[in-house]
Amino acid sequence: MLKITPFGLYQVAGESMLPTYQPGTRLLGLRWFRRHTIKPGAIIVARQNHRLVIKRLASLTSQGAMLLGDNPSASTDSRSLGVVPLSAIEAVIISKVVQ
Amino acid sequence: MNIHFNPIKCLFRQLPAQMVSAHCDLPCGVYDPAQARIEALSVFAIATKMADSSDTDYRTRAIIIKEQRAELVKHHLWVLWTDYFKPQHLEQHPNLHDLFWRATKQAGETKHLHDAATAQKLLDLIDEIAEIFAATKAAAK
Repeated sequence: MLKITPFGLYQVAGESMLPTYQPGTRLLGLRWFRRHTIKPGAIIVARQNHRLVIKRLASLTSQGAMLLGDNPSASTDSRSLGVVPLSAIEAVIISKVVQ
Repeated sequence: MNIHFNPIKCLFRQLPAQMVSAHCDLPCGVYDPAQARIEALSVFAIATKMADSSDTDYRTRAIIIKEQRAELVKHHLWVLWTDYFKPQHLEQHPNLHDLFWRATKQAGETKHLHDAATAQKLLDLIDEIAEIFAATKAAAK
């Protein structure tokens, strides 16, 4: 999908990124980026099962990106869903704009 | 005047944002109204036990737990409503939105009313939802 603007505004729904981000937090994401430059530890927005999820990039493997929530007990992530292809990463979070 | 007013934050609050899921739900499609019904049964049982007790400590504990269970009923109904049911289900069951609205409102009613009849009404509404759920599952086979 063509990403018209270099930045995107995202709002967190759910608790899998606690304590880093509360539900309702608004974040600024960079949508124009080189995928191979993303480093483990970055928080990214990815398309998974036809919806956008927010997770932390745990590691990059030859199969794809391993994504984990910061709140493992309340996160459905790569532990159960497997890795996502790098092409599924939509944005890299660069800033929290509103708590 | 509010000295904490921040126009930039205010602007970012008003701008449209894409929702990004940080949920712990199961996209594998495991949904069942039984989750809501079990919590509603707890609400019903607590209300029944409260009616039989004059112990104020016991009744206080019962109210707290009943509130929690009623909130769980709401949660499980919302998950079904927003995650399981799809637009085609609404076409086949046009009363679906109204039914969920009434059921979640009734879960709220069980918080501030302590009688079993209110809880029974909640169970009846969940059973209506369960019938529609079963019909959609059968149609999908």
